[in-house]
Amino acid sequence: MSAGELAILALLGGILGLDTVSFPQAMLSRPMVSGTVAGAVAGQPVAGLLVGATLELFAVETLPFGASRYPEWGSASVVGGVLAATGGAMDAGRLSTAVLAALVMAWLGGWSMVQLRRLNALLARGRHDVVARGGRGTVMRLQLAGLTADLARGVALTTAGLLALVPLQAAALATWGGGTDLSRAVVAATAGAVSLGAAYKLFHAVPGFAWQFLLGLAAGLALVAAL
Amino acid sequence: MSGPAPPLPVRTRAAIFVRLLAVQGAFNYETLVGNGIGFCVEPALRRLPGGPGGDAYRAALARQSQYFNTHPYLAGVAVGALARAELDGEPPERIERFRTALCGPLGALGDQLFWLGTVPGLAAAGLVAVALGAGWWAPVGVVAAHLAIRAGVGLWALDQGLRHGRQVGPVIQRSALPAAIEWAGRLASLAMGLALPLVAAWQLEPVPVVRRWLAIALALALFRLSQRSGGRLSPVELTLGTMVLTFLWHWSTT
Repeated sequence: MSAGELAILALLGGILGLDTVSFPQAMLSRPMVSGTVAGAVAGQPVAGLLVGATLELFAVETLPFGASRYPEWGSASVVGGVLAATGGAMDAGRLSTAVLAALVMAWLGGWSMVQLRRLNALLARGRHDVVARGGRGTVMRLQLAGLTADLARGVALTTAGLLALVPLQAAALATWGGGTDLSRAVVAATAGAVSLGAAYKLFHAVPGFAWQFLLGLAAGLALVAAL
Repeated sequence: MSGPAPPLPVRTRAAIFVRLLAVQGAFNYETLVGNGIGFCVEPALRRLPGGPGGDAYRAALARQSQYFNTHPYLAGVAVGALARAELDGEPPERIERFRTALCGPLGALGDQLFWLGTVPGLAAAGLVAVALGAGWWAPVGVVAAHLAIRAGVGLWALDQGLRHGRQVGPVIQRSALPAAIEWAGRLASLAMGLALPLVAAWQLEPVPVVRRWLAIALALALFRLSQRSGGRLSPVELTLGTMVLTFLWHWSTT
């Protein structure tokens, strides 16, 4: 990967990471979207979509409630999408290693967002008196500083992820012996388990919603049988 | 009180709406979205007596930049209502009480409508579309649908806040929002149920039949294990552990 490609992908990771919380929360950071975009930039949109859709099954488990800690999927899916798209065909282990890497990146992204919120608090605390006097410039600067720091966080995270994980994936794939079907089956099973857990968590507590879920499940199974 | 202020010009409303997209830009663990609320309401405060930099402007901006918590997509209700209250010349202590009262309900409504409704629902609908062969149109459709909902709700929320000021609470309760929450949750449940088998079939298409069934059995076993762990093991942690163990075993045998 050239320095120019790395810079473009890092900027993409920064922009999509920014979308998670700070601006504009347009679902661009959803894995299905960011994985596909990253795959397209790396020249393989279909591979990006495959890894993005798989990661989406993990992401439905994430409920981004307020100040809680949750995985950051925007920049993580860029790394996952690039790892899936690098090297042409979806050979054995590529999907698995891309998903595994994106999960680790999403966890790190969640940690980095906690650090960003601490930094924002530190900045706000230092300017509390000026804000309490209605200092317009300070309110604007705090907002811009938070947005800029979040963009920088995503860029740094994506850069570090690509620099570390692209060679690591190449080394892992060089020793990967089996075919694609086992790794694909394991990825599908784990993603299915997480999304089933997410559906259960989201809907079992609300009266009546379980019936809608079961109705959808029956329709889905019927469609699978019919197609 | 000096009586109701005239409606805000379209340009000011547009400035507030664009800023609302970045309301969480300085989110932190001490003031949460407080600074963001001040940032968003600021274009309206310029119309206070004395203009930008005047005493009324500075006092209002200071008040609006303190601790606040809300759902980002419904923040327009709070920003609009607080702007209205400031422009109508409500007493500061009444505005602060109103500000405190706005925090909880908007967060709860937004969480239910978006985090438990439209967002997982659209994600599931996108997965269904991917499984049925829509390709990259699926993510494009998800983003377009989300933007339409987000813009529609955001503009409506800001308008309700600006129009009704301190009376916005009962107006929201009587609005279509509670019914929308109910329907968004139901549709999301339906879409999630529909997505799971379709996506599993799509992912397992190139896998031999025996391994397909093994994968389904593994998924159900992991789900059960996650439930039985009573929250000590998150699904993602369980997944990471399973994948690492599987691939270590795979490497060691090939």
